[in-house]
Amino acid sequence: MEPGSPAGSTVRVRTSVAGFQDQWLSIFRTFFERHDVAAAIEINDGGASPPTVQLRLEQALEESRQ
Amino acid sequence: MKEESYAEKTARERARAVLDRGTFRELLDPFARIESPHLPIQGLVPQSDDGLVIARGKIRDKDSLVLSLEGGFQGGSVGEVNGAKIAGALEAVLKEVRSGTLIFPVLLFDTGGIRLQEANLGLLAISEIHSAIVALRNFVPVIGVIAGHVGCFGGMGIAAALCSFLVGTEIGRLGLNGPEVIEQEVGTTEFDSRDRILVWQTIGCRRRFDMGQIDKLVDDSVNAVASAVGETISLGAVRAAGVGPTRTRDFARQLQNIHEYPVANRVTFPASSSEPSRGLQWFNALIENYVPVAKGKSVLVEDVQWGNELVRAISVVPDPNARFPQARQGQVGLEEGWGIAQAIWEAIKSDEGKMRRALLAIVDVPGQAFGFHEEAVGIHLSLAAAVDAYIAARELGHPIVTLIVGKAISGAFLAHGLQASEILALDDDRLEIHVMSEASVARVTRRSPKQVSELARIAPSTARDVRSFAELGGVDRLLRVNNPDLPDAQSVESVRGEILEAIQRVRAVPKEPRTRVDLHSAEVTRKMSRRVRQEIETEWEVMTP
Repeated sequence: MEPGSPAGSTVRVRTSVAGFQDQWLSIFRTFFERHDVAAAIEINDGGASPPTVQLRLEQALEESRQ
Repeated sequence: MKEESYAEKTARERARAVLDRGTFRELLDPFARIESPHLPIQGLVPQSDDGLVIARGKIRDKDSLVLSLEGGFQGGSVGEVNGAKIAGALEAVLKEVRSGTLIFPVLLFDTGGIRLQEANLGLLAISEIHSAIVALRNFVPVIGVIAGHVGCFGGMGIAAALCSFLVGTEIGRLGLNGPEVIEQEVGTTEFDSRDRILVWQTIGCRRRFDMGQIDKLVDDSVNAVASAVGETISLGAVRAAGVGPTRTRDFARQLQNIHEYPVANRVTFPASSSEPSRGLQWFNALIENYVPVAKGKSVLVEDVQWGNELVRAISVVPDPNARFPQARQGQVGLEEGWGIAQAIWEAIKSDEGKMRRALLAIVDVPGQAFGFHEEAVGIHLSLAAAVDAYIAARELGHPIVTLIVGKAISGAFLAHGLQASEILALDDDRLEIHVMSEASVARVTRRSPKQVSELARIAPSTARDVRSFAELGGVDRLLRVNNPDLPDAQSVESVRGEILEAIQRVRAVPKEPRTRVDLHSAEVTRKMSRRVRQEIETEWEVMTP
């Protein structure tokens, strides 16, 4: 996760598991609804499930604010 | 209060934990996005640091460099990028210590060995890592830590054995062939990988410590590991370049371990293959007048005078009467590793103050010996003894040339052949150069054997033929001969000429495994190996005060 551009946020997900598009989309929707940030996010899922990634996103944001 | 587990930490946290507070500075961090280009084309998700953390900082106030493998990513396996990160960082330290700046290298192992999806690229990287560790040891102690859940296996098990000082925890394991691979290659009767108690009793760090193969055993705690590393560096700083005799040169103790080991045949093998060994054929053809000793012997050694050059030829051949059953078909086993080392040290000692003779490795090795006994005694150390001897000889000015005539596989090739300055190979379809049998690759990577052989087409590093290996810069010259199985006089003459020319080239311009990265043939196939080194160099300069 890095600061995004003024134009907005970008998200890139790389996963070896197909068929979870809806889950990914809902996670990012929730994330950006909850936090008013512009972030460039790259995710290599490493076999982690979308909910785990959601948790990690919150942690990353918290860490970036410290 | 319960201590914080070191094994549960990530690679980055482990690196931070051994460094003095606030001194951690990472090179080529995840935001540099230097990742493996080989995984996505095989349908696998890469990681932005390719599972390796390079950190500079201080330990007990001494400049240090920590390399930390992430066991959670692809089993900590070594591919092109993370391999080049390790080798490149060690080479950078080597440059510094050679010019008088003391930096202490620390390797935090957590790795199953070569990354099978990048096969021969990992193999080449590991030969460069070996070379750098041994060269560094002349200036500064190299410290290794084995404290992760994966342990330390394969070519990196050899690398660990090459370190000046090894710290382990009860969680760690150290060996050459992991139990799963032995089980696949030989069967559960040889080694049952699910028997955790047996596994740790055989290859766990506590056992290794008892055998003198690890120097310090500590609890699985962040504080204990950090203190062990810190104390070693304080001590090493006092002793300056306190290398002294290392375990890979401790023939007396380790050979005693081997000789006293009671070998019982756990598995009986059918008589070995009917094909005569090419290693034997070529050794006999090149070394005319060689009288084979009556008693079977698996390491052939002979000196020949070719013109002005005194050449010591070394070949590993099948010995149906070998004490260790898994090493009867020409594999490099416990006795072979130390046997090669002995032959080389003998040459090193008798050439002191004289012109250093050339060493010729004739290579037809179907692999390292896969077996329970081998792991129990410590075959990783035996192979490390051979690697160490080759590197020591090369550093002292012995020209080393390898001639591949048959199979050159994995750990066996690392121990016998890959440390040469020049590698010659017969241009023949029956040569095989790879890191693991197709069946084992399929099991470990969870693919079908068919998928594995198809992958070789899109990922040349996983191919098994000599031309693909040459495309990676692994071969200096391919030699065409009439009958590779039974060489005729003309072929022998031309190959001998090629060997002599290679020796001359090496005498004129010394070369080492790292030089292969700069070969023209490697320009595209190993472009990441080059890029990683360039980036390390750039970031290194920025970081140097």
